[in-house]
Amino acid sequence: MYWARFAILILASMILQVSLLAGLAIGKTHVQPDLLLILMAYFGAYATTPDAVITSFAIGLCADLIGWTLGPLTIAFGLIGTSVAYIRRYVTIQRPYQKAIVIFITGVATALLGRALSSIKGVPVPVPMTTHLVLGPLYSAIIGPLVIVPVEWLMRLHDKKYRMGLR
Amino acid sequence: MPYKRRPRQTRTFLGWFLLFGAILMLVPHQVATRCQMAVLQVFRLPIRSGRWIGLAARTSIELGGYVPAKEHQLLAERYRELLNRTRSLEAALDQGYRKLDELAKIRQIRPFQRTKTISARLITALNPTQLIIDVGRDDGIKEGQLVLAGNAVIGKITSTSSHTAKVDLLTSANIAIRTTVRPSNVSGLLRGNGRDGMVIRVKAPCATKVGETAFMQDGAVTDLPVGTVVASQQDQRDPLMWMIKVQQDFEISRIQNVWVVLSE
Repeated sequence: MYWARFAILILASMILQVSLLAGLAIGKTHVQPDLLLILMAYFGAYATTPDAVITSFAIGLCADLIGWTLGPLTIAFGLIGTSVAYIRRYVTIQRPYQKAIVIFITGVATALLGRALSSIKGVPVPVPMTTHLVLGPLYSAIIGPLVIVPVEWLMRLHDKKYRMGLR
Repeated sequence: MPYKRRPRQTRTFLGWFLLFGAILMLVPHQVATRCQMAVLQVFRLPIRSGRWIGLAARTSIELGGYVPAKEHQLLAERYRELLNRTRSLEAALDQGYRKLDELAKIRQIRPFQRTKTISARLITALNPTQLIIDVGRDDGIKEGQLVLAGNAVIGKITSTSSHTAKVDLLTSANIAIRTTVRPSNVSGLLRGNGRDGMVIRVKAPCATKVGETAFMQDGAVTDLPVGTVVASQQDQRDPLMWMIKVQQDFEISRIQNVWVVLSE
């Protein structure tokens, strides 16, 4: 795993998420795609399991740093990313529509878990429920397969050396 | 043999990261907000640039290329500012006449003219109801101070750090201010719905009509427009109450500069 590239990638995604994508939000409820969610689904689906765990939690921490409080999204992203890493042993995730489905399902699951953990912490979630649970993941699922192409070019998780554990 | 160690490695990582997540869950919300603002402060330059690019792209798409995007944006901002300024002046004139009658032609100095304001730039919008601006405690910003944009009240400061401050917009469910709707002169507490609108609940029946303007009547700053009435109807859940829906006359995505009202 190219960890330096990974660090730059998630920092860039975090900045894009709060700047460029906030400006391109659509609708009255400001629906915008979640780049960090797409990255979490990508690393969960294609990284080795230990790497998937580390990347999921790191991405979750970044999501928390630009979210509404610290904690809920770190745990939600970490657990859902790890789950994807285990589930992909039984499910093929290769075609764009399969990637889109994975992004949508992980988006819904992350939002549900994040909201539940936020309510446990006692911090209200400022994003409307429909936007958070359905429209956001749907938007992310639509553009996700396109975003994954340059990310794969950068991270090269399909590389044989990486799959063999040599990199 | 990295593969043999992986299941154990995975469980160890998962355990440590879950512990880390649980510790983060225990961090108080105020400390979490400060951490978030520190991160935004560190990356303020790329965030601001990205936001500007996004805004420019969105404006050019909306315009369809007939008018230069920048010119349209400037004109639209100027129009909103002038509209709010006109409303503010009309309200001031109205109140001025009344005061003149009551106080035998003693000119009133408007409270807003006695207050100091400080200009601030928007760093980012955390969500549809919260903004981060680039002034903080070191600039004299305190919690509870009002925030204006385009001569209209848009929100209040809810937390501060040394160089940044978080603004909860009036559409936030955490904010409530006293307002008067004119010309029907109906007063009540205005609360945000947590999304994109605000509601005033008063006793039914109520003479307020769609298109009237809500003015702030709270604290040192008064008679500044808050928004326009978009619906006035009986509350469906409580027939004894009347619900006046108010909408702000600006788009959050277009805000670049705001003014914070410092203490008198």
